[in-house]
Amino acid sequence: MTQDYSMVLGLEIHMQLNTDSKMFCGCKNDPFESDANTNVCPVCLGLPGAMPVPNLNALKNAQLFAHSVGAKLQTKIIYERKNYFYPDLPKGFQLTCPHNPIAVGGSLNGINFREIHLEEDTAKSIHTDDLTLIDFNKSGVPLLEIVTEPDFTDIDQAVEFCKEIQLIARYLGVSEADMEKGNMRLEANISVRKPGQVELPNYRVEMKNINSFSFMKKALQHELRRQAETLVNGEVLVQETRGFNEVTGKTFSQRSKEEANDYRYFPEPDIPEIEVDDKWMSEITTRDVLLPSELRLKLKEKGLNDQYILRLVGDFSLYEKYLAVMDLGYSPSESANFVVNISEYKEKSPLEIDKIEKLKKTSKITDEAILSPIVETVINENSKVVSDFKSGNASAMQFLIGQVMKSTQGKADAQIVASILNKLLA
Amino acid sequence: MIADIISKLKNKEISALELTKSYLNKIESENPDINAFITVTNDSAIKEASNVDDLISKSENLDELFSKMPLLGIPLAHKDIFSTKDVKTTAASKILEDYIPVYDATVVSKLKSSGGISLGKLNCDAFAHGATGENSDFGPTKNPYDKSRVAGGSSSGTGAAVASEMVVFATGTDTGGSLRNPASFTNTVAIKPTYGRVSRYGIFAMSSSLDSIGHITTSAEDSALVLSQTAGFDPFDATTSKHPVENYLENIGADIKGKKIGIVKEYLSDEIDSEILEKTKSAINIYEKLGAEIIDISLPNSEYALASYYVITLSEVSSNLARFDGIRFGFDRDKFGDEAKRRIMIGTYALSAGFYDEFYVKAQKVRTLIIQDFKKAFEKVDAILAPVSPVMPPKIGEVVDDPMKNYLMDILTVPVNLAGLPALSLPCGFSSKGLPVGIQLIGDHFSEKNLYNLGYNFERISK
Ligand SMILES: [Zn+2]
Repeated sequence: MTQDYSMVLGLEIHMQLNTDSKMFCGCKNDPFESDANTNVCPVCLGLPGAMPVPNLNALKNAQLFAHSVGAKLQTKIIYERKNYFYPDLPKGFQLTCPHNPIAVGGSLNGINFREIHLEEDTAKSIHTDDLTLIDFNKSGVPLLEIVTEPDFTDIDQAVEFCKEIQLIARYLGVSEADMEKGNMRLEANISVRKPGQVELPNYRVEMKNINSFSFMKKALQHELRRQAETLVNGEVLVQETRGFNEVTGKTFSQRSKEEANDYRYFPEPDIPEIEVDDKWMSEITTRDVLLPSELRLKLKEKGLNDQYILRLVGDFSLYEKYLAVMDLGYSPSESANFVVNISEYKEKSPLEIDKIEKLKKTSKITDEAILSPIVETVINENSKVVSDFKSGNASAMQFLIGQVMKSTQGKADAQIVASILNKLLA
Repeated sequence: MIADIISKLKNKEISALELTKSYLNKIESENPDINAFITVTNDSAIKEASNVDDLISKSENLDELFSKMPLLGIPLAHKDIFSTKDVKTTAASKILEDYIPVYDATVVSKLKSSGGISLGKLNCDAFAHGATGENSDFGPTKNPYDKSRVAGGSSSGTGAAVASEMVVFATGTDTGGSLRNPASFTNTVAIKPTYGRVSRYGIFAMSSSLDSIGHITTSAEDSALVLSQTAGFDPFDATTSKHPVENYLENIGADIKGKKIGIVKEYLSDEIDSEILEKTKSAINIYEKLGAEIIDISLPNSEYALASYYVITLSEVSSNLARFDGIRFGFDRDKFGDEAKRRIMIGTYALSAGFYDEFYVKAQKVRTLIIQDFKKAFEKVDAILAPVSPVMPPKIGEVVDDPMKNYLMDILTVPVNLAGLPALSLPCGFSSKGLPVGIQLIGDHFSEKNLYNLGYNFERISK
């Protein structure tokens, strides 16, 4: 039966780094906003004679990321040429570091990293009816590639892992990691194992162009089912690349392994081996950074509930607002309540929130002479609740207080209102 | 020669415009025969020369002006694989027949700011693939000493233009002998600097790990002066060295008594032309007379150099030429000549899965052994003296259809490139047929100053 098959899943995650300049030239790194072909130079256009010079900031950001996710930094990085032809690849090869990458091994939440590379992005092809245009603004943008071992045991775990990677990149400020824009891209390698099978399957299906987490979940669920069903039917699975059609909810074959490239890797002679010495290494490993996992613990210690933690950790700007509100003298849970729950505070700055809160406190109506008529009106308008109250329903009291608050824009003193209610309904 | 011209310009015996025009006239009369130039930039050269005359006439301190711009007014030309902004750069290949770069190579802009005036772009073997200059899609360059013969290659136009006085000096590249070989065929001086001494940025890569950017002049002194302008770290070339650039002219004439010169027994085999061997021996005698100590040395892995060189070079070539993909630059890949196609195919094969270890990785191991051979030698000697070419300049057409013969012409020059060492090629007289013969002095990394000192002393006696 299909559920007897277990999943073997590994991920490849690509993320554009947000350094000021590109990976191997001084051009502005802005693949989305600038007019087409304005951030270009001989290097990223691949003009004859141009030479790549590695961007050390990009390397350091990549190392910071790799170190922060728990991968093991390497002391020697060697750039190599990955030779293949494509119109958006002006040099006829892509620079990457396949054999001496930024980091090897290590793990995050139980998932082992195979390696983490820093390479250059390709240009962007724009297809019109009768033309293909190429925008080289994206050519040479620093691109981080994170490759995991096939350690995932279920799809939700994989989605959570990707979300965590995205959060970490954002916390470190090294990438916007925006899936919609395309500066974070996912690829999954998925296959299935029969019950009791220890060795890895002899094929894997590569799923490309996954552009959202919900898409990822749907695509993988479908593909997992398809593979198990294929095996149950006694058919054979082949190594191939498959896409996912959201409309039909089905995956489809894009490319089979026969078309695999021989990339003819060899070391890029224009870039000497990069030696990461102790000083450089400690500059990366001792940098003071805040990671989402640390923030979760910190907030838990403050006594916040899981819902607050999820929201605050998942949205760093919300967390910053929370901190600013706390700075104004509110307790952690009060502050969390303001920024997470109260919708009228969504667009308000911490100072504005504080102003409103103070106003509420200072202008409290405590005068019984003013409150009594209002309470009477509420009693008259809610006879059903009043009878509930009289028959002993405690929450009816809360409702009536709430109604008074509502008609006084929250300014009534709740305790005095309660005592009036008790008096009038006794 | 440059020093003389500069003093004439300084003393206003001659204007820069007159000077440039006289060289342009020489090009007009000689080039149709020699075919050293692919492009002559008459108009811009004349304009630049007038600007130089302006500078000179307005200057209140000519010494200061010329020390800031040591090549002010000097006519030069660039091998046609140097990117020159707004000036057609063909690599001597039809595939780039109409290519006009948008930027200057670092060396081109350095020589501009030193005051040099470019008269145009020089013929060469297409993409610098060749040792005779015949592999140019714009016709072979002829040897000014015998127009039925080649001028050497791949920097064929560089050697021929300097030898026939169409320019004062010219730039070129040396990947496996491509400057030293034409210098030895045209009675001129070539420097192949230490790898990383001169920026490669903007110069079409043939074999990126071997290409060395140098020039051809008529004297060691001129060569030293030009190198002092082109050498140095370049932020656009990650392989350039931060090693300080020495003053190559300082003490260039100092006594060389007691300097140790190595003679490599493997480089003087029977396969070398007997007249070339004879000339090399006469050069050794001159150094002995100058008080140098001659020491026999061995570079035992020399015999593997050529094989290692061609595996590495062709592998890199196959990748470097991938950018001429038929989408940009105007022409399709069928415009590549046979030699480029041959190199792309062999190189692609050598890098393919299953062959990479057997070829590329092994060639790199051999390269390491060759470097070690030289390192050991330089523990004993200050420089190595050797012939440049194993043969006299061939007749045009004689070796063009025989790639192996062509490749073998590099046998004495490629080890230097594999080891990234500097070498200075010097004229060493003429054969019985009146053809030029050259020798080369090979030094340890960054020992260009020592080579110039040795070369300068040799010239004084041999000229
Ligand atoms: Zn660029």
